[in-house]
Amino acid sequence: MQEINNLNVLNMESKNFTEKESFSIINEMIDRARNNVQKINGHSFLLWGYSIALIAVMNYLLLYILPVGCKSQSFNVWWLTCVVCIIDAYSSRRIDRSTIVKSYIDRIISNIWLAHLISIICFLIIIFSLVLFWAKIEFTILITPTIMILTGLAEFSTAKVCRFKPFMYGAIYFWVGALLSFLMIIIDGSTFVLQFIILAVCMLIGFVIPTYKLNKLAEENV
Amino acid sequence: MFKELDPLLHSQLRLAIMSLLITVEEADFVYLKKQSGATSGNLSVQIDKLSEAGYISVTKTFQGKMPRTICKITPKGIDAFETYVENLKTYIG
Repeated sequence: MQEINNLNVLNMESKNFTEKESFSIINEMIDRARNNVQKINGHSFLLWGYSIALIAVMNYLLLYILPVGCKSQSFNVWWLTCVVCIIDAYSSRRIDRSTIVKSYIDRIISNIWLAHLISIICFLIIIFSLVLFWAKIEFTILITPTIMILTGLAEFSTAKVCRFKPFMYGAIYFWVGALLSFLMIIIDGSTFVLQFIILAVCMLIGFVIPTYKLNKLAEENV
Repeated sequence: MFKELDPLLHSQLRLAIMSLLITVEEADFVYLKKQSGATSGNLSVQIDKLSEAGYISVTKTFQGKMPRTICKITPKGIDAFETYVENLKTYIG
């Protein structure tokens, strides 16, 4: 590419360029397009990372603040994720309109997270059906660890697709967090509330921080 | 034996445009200009030539009041590019 820049060949309709130069142009352009890490998903990731961490902490605090008998009302705070969904859809649409390039990687990553969302919804339908129709309330303690496992899976896939290691470490945090959450239930059922703190920590160190690193990389590349 | 290279692709800027578009799903004029380092005028002319040949599809839209040109490689363009690369290999050996 040094040669290309020096000769400023792309501004000319040169007839005498060699086959070797053809190859170097193809390689250089493909390389440039590949390295052009976009910030498109970064906005979404930050929004979800901060929101879930905040909601988890709110849930934890409400469990202490609310009087006995009303504590289960604290879980209603998770309805806020619907608001986050709407904000995300709106902001993603705006960013999508103004983005100057759409890569296949962006599409794959979007689909990974769409599959993650659908999986969580299916899982929640199953759990709440068990609670509503068979009064199996104990199954609800599996919600946080399972969501963390699924998030780890989606984050690991994202890391592999965009070849970005911090997301891989993030996925490991989520898997460890899921095991830790479950371990707390086994050791002492009353400590299950700490699941929310583990989730919030995982969201911040396993999701938000790697996303900032991704954005920084994107700024350097674009 | 050397195989003939597609004259439409055997041009530095057109080849650069095609190489960029084969890697991404779609790209707009600003991105192609930035990555290729070409002038707007020259880029516009070459995009028109590729579009006329059916190698790329060009969609013109508006973002607010600003016009936008979005380019996407067509299946015909992918075939032509692959053939060009295959033929190019006969020269490099």
